[in-house]
Amino acid sequence: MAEIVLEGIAKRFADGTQALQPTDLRIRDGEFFVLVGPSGCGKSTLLKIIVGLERPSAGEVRVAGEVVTGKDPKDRNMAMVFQSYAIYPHMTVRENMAFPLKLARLPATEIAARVEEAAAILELTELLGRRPAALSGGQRQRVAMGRAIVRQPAAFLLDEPLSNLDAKLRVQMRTELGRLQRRLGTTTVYVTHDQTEALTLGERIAVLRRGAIQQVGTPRDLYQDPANLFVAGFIGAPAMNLLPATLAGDRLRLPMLELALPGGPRGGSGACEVIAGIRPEHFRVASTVGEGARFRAQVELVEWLGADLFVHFDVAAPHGARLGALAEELGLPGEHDRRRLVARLGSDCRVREGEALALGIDAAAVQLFDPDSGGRIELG
Amino acid sequence: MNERGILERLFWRVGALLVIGYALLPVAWILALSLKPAAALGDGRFLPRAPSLEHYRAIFADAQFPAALLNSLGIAALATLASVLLGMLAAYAIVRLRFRGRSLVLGAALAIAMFPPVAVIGPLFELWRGIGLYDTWPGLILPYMTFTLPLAIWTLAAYFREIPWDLDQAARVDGATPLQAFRYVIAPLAAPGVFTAAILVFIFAWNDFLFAAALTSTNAARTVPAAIAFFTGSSRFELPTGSIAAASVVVTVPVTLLVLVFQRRIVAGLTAGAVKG
Repeated sequence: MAEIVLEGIAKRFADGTQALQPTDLRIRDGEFFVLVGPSGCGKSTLLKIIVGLERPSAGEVRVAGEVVTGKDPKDRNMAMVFQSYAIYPHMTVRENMAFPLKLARLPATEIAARVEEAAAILELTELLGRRPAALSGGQRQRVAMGRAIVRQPAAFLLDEPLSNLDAKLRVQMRTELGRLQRRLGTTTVYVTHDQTEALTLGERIAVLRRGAIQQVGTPRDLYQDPANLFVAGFIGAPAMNLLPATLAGDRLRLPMLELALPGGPRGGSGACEVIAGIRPEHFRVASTVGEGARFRAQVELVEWLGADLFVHFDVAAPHGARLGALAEELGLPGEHDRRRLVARLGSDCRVREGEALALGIDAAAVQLFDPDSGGRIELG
Repeated sequence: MNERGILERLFWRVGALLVIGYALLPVAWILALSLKPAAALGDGRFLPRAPSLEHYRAIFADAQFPAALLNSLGIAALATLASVLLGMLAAYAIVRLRFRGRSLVLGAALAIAMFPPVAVIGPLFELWRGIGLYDTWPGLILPYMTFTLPLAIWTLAAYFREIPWDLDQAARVDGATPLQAFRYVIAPLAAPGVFTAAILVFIFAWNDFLFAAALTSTNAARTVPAAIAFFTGSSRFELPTGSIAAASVVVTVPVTLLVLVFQRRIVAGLTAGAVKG
């Protein structure tokens, strides 16, 4: 159990690519901390620096107050679960789990006891004599977890542990992982590209992009108060709707309607270009909004999920270079002169594809971003 | 269709028999020769009329052959051990480390393998005489190791490349030193490759005649292929055909056994299930 502190950690590979910008991070003792970001953002590199498989080009790693930057991975007492599980194919499940303990030269009786205990926790007791080739994906995943927990390490490091499982098993293992971590109370760093995993598992989350941390916070912080356009677009499914807009005083001119923002006029005079972010749940069927701010949406696609109804519609809006690049990076839908928006409505709304629908926007929930820096614009 | 199926099966059966016969006929002939009494060697029959072990008794009664057999076993085994051990470390480094001139090492290894041994025999003979390696075990082990190392490196590098890097890293995080990770995780997984390389090296050393004939002169280091060439008949007018046949059978047995025993290990796909499957 330990607090992990990163100070000014940076990584530049031999070929000159800057994998990590100088990064400061404090992972609290016993915390479930998630590193999330699109592929190639440097999250796995950061994890490998913490465990010692990569050396940072600059900076310091401290575990429980002790500097471990130059230490070999074997001396860090951390356990890692790999995306590929990396269980040893020539050893049985029992031998796999006993391997780190044998290397630590524990007495045989202690090894047996710890392996049995871990196997019981993970429901692997029946499988101890099997070899990995005879196990299913979920079972292999549990063996990898077992090999990690037998060591009673200072920290667990998990590198996309669920991405090789099928959807149903992934949800199940996600719940199990969360429960296991709370039961053991061990500091855990979890790397994923899946924002749903990050939101459901993480006590705190760091969002990475191109080797730089964008924001660190609780899932609620990231969802409700994204620090910039990237976090806003990355966190949440379906993604936040991003639109070019003009802000003049307290009037926000969106491509499809004009809104009066609450909190009075902003300090700056004159109109300025902004990017407006609207979560799908902040659209309302217009009749429920008393004021006149409404627009007609031509429904392109309807997804009915029982409790929710997702309505997709297009808005004519030429977006700037920044929004275009971001949309491409995050895989958001839309063409160069149209934005595809998603609204989450109550499932009692009986709209069909091809129909027109009057929608209003919850003006208080609209978030504004600077189109140049991408940073959040705080309102009055 | 049925008729075609039968024909096809017949074709493969007969074809296989032809190939096996072609390959094994000389072996069978040598075996038959080795069992014929000296007087019946030229009788023109394929099967010996009265099989006898007199040639076997004769070659083992002479001090030369048992000594040569021991030399062969020792030299081939040591050359194999050295070559495979060095080859494993070199191949692992080539596959896992990014160092300057990585492909140069592989290329140079291949170039050595292509180098005709005959070209070095003369200089090597002089050199060995000069530094006292002539007619010693190390004097043969060194060239065997050198000429088989490229083969071992290439074979093993191919196997190491198949082993996911995650496994090394997992072992390192689990508390293994680099050497322990190699010994407990990587080497066992590369076992089929190690056996393949070992057998190839062993057969090269075991069968070599060129180096053995040129670099040895006495029972101290002369191996079986060279020793057979120095067999003499009971008189200067008699060819030692029977003894040569018996000795040939005796040297064939260990290699055959080796291949049969390790065949399964070579074929076994130990890496199955290493990553997700």
